[in-house]
Amino acid sequence: MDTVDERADTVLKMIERYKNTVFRIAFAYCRNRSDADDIFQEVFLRYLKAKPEFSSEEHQKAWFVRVTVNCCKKHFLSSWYRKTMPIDEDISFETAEQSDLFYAVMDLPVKYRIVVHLYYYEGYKIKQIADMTRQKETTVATQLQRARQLLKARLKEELIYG
Amino acid sequence: MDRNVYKSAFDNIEVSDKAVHEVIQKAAEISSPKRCRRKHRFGVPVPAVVLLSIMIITVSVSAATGLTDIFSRYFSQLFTTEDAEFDNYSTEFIEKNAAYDFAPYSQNGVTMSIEGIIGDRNFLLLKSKLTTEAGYDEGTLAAFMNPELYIGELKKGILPATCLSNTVDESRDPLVKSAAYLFNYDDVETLLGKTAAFDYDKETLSGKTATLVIKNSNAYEPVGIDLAEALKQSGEISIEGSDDPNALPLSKLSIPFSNDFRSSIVLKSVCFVNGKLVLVIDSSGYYENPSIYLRDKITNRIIYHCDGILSAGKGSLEFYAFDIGDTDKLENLEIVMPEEHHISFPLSFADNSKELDISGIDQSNIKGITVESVRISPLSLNIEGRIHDGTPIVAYKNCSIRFKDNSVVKYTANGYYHRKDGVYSTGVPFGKPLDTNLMDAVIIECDQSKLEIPIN
Repeated sequence: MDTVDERADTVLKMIERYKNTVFRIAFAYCRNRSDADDIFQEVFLRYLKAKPEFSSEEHQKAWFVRVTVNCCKKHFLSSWYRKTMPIDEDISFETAEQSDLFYAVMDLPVKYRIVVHLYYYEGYKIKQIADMTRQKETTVATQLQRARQLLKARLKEELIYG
Repeated sequence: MDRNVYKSAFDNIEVSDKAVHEVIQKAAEISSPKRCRRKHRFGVPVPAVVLLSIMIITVSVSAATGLTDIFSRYFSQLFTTEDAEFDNYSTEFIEKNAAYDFAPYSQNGVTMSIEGIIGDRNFLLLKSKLTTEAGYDEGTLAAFMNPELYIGELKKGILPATCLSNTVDESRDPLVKSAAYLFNYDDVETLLGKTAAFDYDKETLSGKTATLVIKNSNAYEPVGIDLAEALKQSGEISIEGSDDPNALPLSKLSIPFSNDFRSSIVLKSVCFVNGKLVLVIDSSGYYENPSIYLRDKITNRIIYHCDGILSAGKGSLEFYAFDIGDTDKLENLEIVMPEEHHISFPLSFADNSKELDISGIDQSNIKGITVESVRISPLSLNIEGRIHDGTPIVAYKNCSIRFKDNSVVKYTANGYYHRKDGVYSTGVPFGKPLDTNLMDAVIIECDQSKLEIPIN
């Protein structure tokens, strides 16, 4: 068994390494800091309790992403319906383009937001996203396609597919 | 869509130091090996706390917090708040109105006796007594303090009710604890297409079987399968190339897990693919998708953990891949799962809630909401209303009960859900049973306006 200090040290390292990855996915899902904070806590406490072993850094990151997505889904189940929860508006952006795109993505239905975030921000492939979200590859591809169509309509711009 | 613009936009979203600080505090508490036994007395061993406090400073999170404060905040989140604490009235109410006589359940020196259950259309409150014997297992006690509740037959797809709070009172006898759990089972109607753990509008709870599932994540039990032998029986299938589950051949194994209620989980195939041990499991007869752990038989340490991947093309089979590298390691590995206990009991109680008459209430003064129904029970206040502007979370934020002695107590809705077009429902838990006969009025505040609805 790990000693107390070893376990704590490992958790601190993981928080430093993945805090923003976890928080940004949670934010993409919940659209507000308060819920994202709750999920952030839940993910790292799960890590502490589960003490998973990882074969690589990639595997490690994938674990955090997957657990974050699971926690987000659980959060929606355990919370009551929050579809109309307003988006946090105290976020400052460097350009109007960033702001427009951010709020356009935040306006997407949650199932599209999460695949968009994992695809465009985290750079995962469709197959990897399918594994993480436990959906079929074709479902993820369809969600991504529909998200692009919705964004296109909203932003009225030529899309560059990543 | 330009990936770079999106990335730049999201780079502005960063977790706050406060959130990081809080998770570190909680991690510090959970890391303490003695946390279960003495959690009500703030008795975490000092060396571990000192050590972890130093670590908190080294990661440059916000200002250092006193240890007492850390403990208080931690425990107040996990256990009782002042509002939720049972007073004599609450205890007497349960004894009079919801007494429950059910055989106690004992495990590892911990005994749970269910003393009373009361429920309404949103919440179920279960009061129990936890008695420990000398030498009891701390992990088991911690698990008993955090049960999951399922209503109905435990089968695939069943959802647990959400545990809103667990209150544990320290009695004079350190070996006896009185525990109360407040569950919300009507809280699930989401954009993910799930359903509620229980729908009170369609059925009544009485006559249903409830099961408390108690998971001890500090103890694991083997499932009675010899991995090396299973691989042999499976034909020692070893494949190079794709590890896509749908491409894997299946053997005709059918080895059920040995533990009691897990015997419906069946190992269907074992193979070795690109250095990974892949277990194919049929858990269609089990109530959840199991997580599988591999433990080193010599050190007793959990080495691998996998939550499984559901196959798209092979029915209900789940695939669990473990990167063990070499089949020789199988001799020293065993499949284990967290120790789990099930306590099943029939539910039998009356819903004491009553609907208030709002037909004659003038609602012209309240802004933002038209109240359609108000129901009150000893456990909660349930409001349904049509939201005009803003969001339901604002509309339902401030609810109060005025009692006949003119005292007013504010309660917070823990959420709301969209019941039907334009109508949102909220359940506002009181945290402990209250006597509705002592209540004078429900007050709903919205957009700086108030609506008062008399009770009785």
